[in-house]
Amino acid sequence: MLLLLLFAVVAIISALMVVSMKNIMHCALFLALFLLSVAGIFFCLDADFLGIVQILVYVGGIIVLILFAVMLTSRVSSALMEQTNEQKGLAIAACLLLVAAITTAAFKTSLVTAFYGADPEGTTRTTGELLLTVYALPFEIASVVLLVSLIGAIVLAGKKGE
Amino acid sequence: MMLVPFIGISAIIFAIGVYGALTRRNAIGILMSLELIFNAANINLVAANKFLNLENSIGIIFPIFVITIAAAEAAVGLAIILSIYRQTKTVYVEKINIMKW
Repeated sequence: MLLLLLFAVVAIISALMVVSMKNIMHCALFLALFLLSVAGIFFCLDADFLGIVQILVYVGGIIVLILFAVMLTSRVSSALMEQTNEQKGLAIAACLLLVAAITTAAFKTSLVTAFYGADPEGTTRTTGELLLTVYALPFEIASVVLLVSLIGAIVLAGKKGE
Repeated sequence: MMLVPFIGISAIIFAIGVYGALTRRNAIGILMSLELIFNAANINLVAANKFLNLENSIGIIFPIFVITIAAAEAAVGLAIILSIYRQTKTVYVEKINIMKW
């Protein structure tokens, strides 16, 4: 419980840093911290497989991609330039309204009294079985999506006119 | 433990992500805010699976597909940004106005 609170606080603080830091490189590193603490929240909620996937795919893959993109475009994104546009105040108001709306809606539903469905064995085994039986078709389609995005990324970012 | 604190956490992270997507000038910063939004949705789904005992563990399976699509989105999005950077020498979204007239 205490661990969960710690992960939640770290996640929220690092998420705030991601949207408020001026240096985009520091933003990417805080995003890595955020993703790690979200993986910690997954572990606390007995979703072991999902936590490992989060660390492997996000921290090992997407963060590296983002760092590459930041370094390849770093000539223009200097730390001295203003990183937010002029709609800052309006955006803060809209987001506070959003949080208020979601939390009041959550308190009005029957979810307030939801019980704690304990699963001491972890969910990795059931996840694997479900992915290869009930969800086999979406699983295969996801691989096609990944292939298409791989080809699309090469076509878009590759050298032209050769 | 109760479910509502988790909905609160994910609502806060979601709002932070929306704020970043609305106010960032750097296109890579906007992509990073999108990752925050995806993760807020994933926390919500995993917590719902834990507390409500959903049928077929859909709350564990769905985030796997969300992470897959997020990886595909990041690869294609960063490729588009690099391609734009090569043409216009900028990643600031208000300067990328080749589709405006």
